[in-house]
Amino acid sequence: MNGAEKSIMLVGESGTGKTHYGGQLLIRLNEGEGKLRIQGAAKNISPYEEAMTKLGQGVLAEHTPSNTYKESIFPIESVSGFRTNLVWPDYAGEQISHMTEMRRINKAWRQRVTGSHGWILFIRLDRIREYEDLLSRPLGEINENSQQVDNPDFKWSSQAVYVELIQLLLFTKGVGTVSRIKKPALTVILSCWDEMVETEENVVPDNLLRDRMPLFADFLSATWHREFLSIFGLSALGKPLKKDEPDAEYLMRGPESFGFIVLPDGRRSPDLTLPVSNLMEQIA
Amino acid sequence: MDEKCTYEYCYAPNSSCNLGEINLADCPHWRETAKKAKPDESIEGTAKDDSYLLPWSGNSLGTVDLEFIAGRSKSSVIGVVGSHNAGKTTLLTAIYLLLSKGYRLPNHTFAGSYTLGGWENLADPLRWHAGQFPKFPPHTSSNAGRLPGLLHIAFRDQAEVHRDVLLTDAPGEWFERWSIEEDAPDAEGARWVNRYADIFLLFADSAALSGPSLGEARMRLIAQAQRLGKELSGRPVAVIWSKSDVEVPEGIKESLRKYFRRFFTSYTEFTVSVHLGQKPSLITHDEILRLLAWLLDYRVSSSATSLSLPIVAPEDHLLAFRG
Repeated sequence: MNGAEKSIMLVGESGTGKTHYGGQLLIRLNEGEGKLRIQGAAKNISPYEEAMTKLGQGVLAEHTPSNTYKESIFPIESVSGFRTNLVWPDYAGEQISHMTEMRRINKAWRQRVTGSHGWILFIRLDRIREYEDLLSRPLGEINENSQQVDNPDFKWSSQAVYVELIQLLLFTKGVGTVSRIKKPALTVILSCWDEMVETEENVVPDNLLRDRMPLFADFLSATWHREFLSIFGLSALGKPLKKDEPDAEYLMRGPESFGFIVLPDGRRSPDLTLPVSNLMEQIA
Repeated sequence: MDEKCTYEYCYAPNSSCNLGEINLADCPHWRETAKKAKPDESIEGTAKDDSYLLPWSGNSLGTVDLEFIAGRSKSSVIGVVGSHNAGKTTLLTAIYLLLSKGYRLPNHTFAGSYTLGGWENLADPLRWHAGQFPKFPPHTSSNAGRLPGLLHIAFRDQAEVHRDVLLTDAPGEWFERWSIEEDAPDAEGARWVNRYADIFLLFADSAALSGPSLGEARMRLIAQAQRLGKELSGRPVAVIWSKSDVEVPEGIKESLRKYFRRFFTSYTEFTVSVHLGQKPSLITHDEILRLLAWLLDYRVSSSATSLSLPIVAPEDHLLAFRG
């Protein structure tokens, strides 16, 4: 069973872990023990070559330079036998921030959006901008005549930014939100999980998203069809790495021994290909 | 080029082409505009990197960019009426803050907004920032355009129906003028709200009604209620006792209720406050959510009378037949 090339659009701001996941994903695909396997060799692994080398050395990969947009093509086969070419990009997350700040989408990104079949959105919950306000943390007395000082550094809350980002992408793809969405299928990956949640806790990713970004979680669940929206947790690295000090365990056991996925039901798995394989089933 | 497009409803280049052209140079109106501005130069299209500007700005909607929402489904317009400083904007902001914090409605889920910039602009003053205490949102300026800004929220209900809700955020001065002089030139915004709203909220400022100028506040409220009552035509109205942390003397409340019953026939009341004292008050959160649920759940009940057709030609048995 062969399918036309399936393009997955990765969406993630700077520092949300796209490059590390891409590198670890390729290592897992090559290892061949996950639900998704590579058939032959990936075309052009240069976007991830540096990341894979660094991980092999037990250190963090470099930040992707801002104007980079490169694609790897992974010829893959799922456990059910579905084969396709998976187009997997690497780019600098600043391009996403730029889009939401300037409210503009350039031609290259428009083509990526319109040509994509599934989306993976990376969110790093420990870096979101959330504010306490008068309703959550009240003030005893407010002087209504106090100076109305404009906040010069005013930035939208992260929830508003993410809702707007998704609205922007859906509009570009020509997908309305009045009816529930099946295409494109959406997978949300809550990255750097190991830095947020203790190992012993059996936290369900959807609950964590609802807890930290309730408005955004509501928006997703009201907009997507349940079977085409999946929320995973991810620790691509398994443990914090440093930029310059190699991690001894990584050197001994290799990056393929590290990293895990948190499934929608809260269980953990070392198979980092699961979110992609799940998405492939949804867009097949 | 700063010239606005010659097409009446288009605000390119500061917004996207109203007729939907991704590349401005493909639009005949834009080409005409560009030619007039710089007759000797070639037509500029979109930005150098071929980027496309979103057709919604994220700020409150004006009457032209309202088409973007109105075009996709029937929207409910909530007319928020009341004197200046009655707490209208603060209540709208509280709705957004509660939804952002995960407070949920029983039958509706947040399904997006095309005015997130507008909401965030209102919410920001109420937030704690380093070195900045929260304060009430700035006064809605009566200089900001002739017609109200509209704030948008979409919901999906349990029957899977998608609803677009538009809330008017208008300066209180407009309604004060309108209540005194229906056709006042500076009350055009109030007339717009009156014309398009499906449901009204009339704010009764508890602080003003118990303060030193309570007589004046009471008369203003009665005038607004009377004007509104005249224009309702069966549309529902709720009276919002805002700033309810301040007690309105019961006698004043009762006398006002007499007027409300006379002008509105039937109406609902809500009592809200965002001035919470030392501890978060669940009562206020619940009441604001109860109000929002009421706005969303309200359905105009039909009178369900049968259509009656006069018989104009009794000799024609076919046309005279009434079953």
